[in-house]
Amino acid sequence: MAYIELLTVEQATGERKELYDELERVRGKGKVSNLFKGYSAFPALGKANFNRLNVLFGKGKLSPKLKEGILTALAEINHCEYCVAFHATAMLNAGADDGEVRAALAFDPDRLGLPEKERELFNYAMKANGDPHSITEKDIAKLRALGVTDWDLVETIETVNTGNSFNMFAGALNIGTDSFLTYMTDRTSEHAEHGKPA
Amino acid sequence: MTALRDATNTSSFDAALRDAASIIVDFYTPSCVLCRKVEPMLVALERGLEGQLRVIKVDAAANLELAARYDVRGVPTLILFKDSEIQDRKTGFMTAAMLRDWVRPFLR
Repeated sequence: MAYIELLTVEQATGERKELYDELERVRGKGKVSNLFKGYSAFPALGKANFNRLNVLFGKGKLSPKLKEGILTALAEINHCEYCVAFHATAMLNAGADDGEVRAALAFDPDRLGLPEKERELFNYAMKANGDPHSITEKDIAKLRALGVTDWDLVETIETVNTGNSFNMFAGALNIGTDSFLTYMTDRTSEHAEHGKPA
Repeated sequence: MTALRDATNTSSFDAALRDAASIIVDFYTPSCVLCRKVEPMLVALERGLEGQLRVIKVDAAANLELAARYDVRGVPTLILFKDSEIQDRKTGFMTAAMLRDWVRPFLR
């Protein structure tokens, strides 16, 4: 059970309801995720973070499959079962198959079904997440040779930042899996207390 | 995520080394952030290689004799053994892809 109150759509009022309405407008009826139910305790921050996601995915140039692959891998690294379920589902919705989701969970860019540039950006994301100071000029030159732009690097790093911050938020508040997620629900239900569906 | 096996003393370490043809030993310390970051990469490597390679962890702070035997001066230090002989070693964070590229030539 979550450590903070997660209001249902019917219970939300005022600024919280405004956030929920915006989530349903963008994602569809009934798709107010537990993560944003948690964020709605501080509605302005909830709106800012939802906007962050909308900019990352709505205005980004990299494929949603790459970004969801990175977010799925980070969720696995951060032991956030809720986030694995959420982003694996999103990966499938972005056109990935089960094998490609397994590749993300195994941090294997070569089986993600991505073009070379995005495979290398996935590996760059993993390296940046592991130890940002280990990235060298040689790493960047390799990316540049594949046509990677400053925009691409910023978008990739911000994907890592977003994943880590949401994983930490969900973990620290014990926020569990949404009922509307379709991937890994068996796996998430195996977990005893921490990370149990709220 | 499955955890890696921990060799908690010299005799369990020596037994693990004898039992596996190819093995990576991950010298870590509990307080090392990079060690926690590299662990899921090692788990994925071991799982992906399906029995061709084992990975064990050794807490370098709790096993000073082993750390001294292998001249471990920083963590994470990864040492690749084949038939109990050291083949290569790396220090610092590596992604799963970097790990696969590293070990592949030694598994042929």
